[in-house]
Amino acid sequence: MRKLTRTLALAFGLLLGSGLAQAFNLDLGKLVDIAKQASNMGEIDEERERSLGADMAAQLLGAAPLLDNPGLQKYVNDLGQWLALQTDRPGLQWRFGVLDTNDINAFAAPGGYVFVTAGLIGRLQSEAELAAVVAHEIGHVVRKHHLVAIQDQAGSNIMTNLMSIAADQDENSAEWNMLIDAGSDLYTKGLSRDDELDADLVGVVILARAGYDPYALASVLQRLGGVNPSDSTLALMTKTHPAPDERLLVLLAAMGDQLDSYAAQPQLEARFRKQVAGEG
Amino acid sequence: MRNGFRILAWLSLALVTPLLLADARPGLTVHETVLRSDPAGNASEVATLPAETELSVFERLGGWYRVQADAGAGWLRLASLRFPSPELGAADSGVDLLLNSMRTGTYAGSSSGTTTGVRGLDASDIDNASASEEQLEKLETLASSADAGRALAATGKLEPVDIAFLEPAGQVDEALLKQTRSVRSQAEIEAAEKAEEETCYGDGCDPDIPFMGGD
Repeated sequence: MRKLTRTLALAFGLLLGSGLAQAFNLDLGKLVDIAKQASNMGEIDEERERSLGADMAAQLLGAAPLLDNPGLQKYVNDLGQWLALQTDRPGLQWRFGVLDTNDINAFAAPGGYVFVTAGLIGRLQSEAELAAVVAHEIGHVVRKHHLVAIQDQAGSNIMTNLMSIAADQDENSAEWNMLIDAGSDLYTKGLSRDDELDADLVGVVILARAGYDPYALASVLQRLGGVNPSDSTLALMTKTHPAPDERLLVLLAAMGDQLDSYAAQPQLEARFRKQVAGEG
Repeated sequence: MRNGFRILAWLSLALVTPLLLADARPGLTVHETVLRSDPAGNASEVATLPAETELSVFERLGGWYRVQADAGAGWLRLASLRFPSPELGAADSGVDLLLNSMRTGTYAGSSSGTTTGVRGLDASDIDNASASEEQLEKLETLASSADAGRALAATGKLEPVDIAFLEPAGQVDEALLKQTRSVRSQAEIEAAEKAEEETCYGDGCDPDIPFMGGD
């Protein structure tokens, strides 16, 4: 009896498996091989990480195009490159873009993509504050927050290691598109609270390492806390991030007085104003 | 002679004041806090400000703001104040002008003519967007280099320093968070009351301002 049950279960499993394989156009043997490989996010190579990031970035750019201001774009790219040099992933092909929208927000995608909206830049007062925002996003990339979140989302799926499956997939395949969708969903649903608070802690150190006043991040959070909560340009950020005043307190608590000796590092207000106002 | 000094003082104040006023923002103390003569914890005390003291906030130096309160001028710790929300839209004119200048590449200042409209980015914009390969290619053309980054740092006199990453400090101070959130300026209370009065339901309301994206 027990044997029969087992046989039936096996047959059912095979049926289910082959049905699924057919549904997703997967090679079962390949699936097993991949499953045997180590199943953590470290498995996705940099090239695949970048492809995934590029597709997520293209989706975001489809919603908000780049601001037509080459001078400002260059400024943000140069600034971003300098910040990226302070991380343990300086060799990524970092790309930075200012998005043409009044919305107050910033985004990152795997592989080295970072975006800041014109609406957010318009609220900032110094290069150090801009660097703080960019450094927070760089923090998401170097900590691979998006990759892990995509993996977590896939974890509840029957395909428990979507990423390693994807590592073997054609980039036009249905599986690949599922990854892009999962990644793009993070822009509207948000990363976890812990990831956002972590990116603040990583970002503030990148900021200080780059020679800026580290309190510029606290300053940005404090200013965002003073934007009218019913301002529609803040809606998506509010939905996808912990409240600015909460982030501020968590950040200041972790900083303590550890970064106070760097507090007199430059803020570069004048250079920022020149660049943003087009006088650069 | 003393009058001469006073005139000189007023003159220099008149010259400097517009610059300072440009950066002055209304602030509000979150809790009772000591106003100090300098941005340091051991600087002498100017006054003790009760919670919800309204003040003018000037420049920031590290974790300190220079402020002017009725009780005197001095420095307050960053976390001891907050910026009250302006009435919706009230503080946005400057941002709109700046956005306009960012789009046109030149700052037209207050003489700026038409603005280029509000372009939003909400969840449905992202969900409904089609991927733009063209924009992604444009992004590639904007790519900079590590050397360009170093050059920007050098002209800004930014010196890289070696600092270890921070450890999380554990639980957020809920009492302080609650206090920060509960503090409201008189202006905010009035704005909220006004908004409440102006809230209307049904036919009497203006339609929502439509999205004015694109050129």
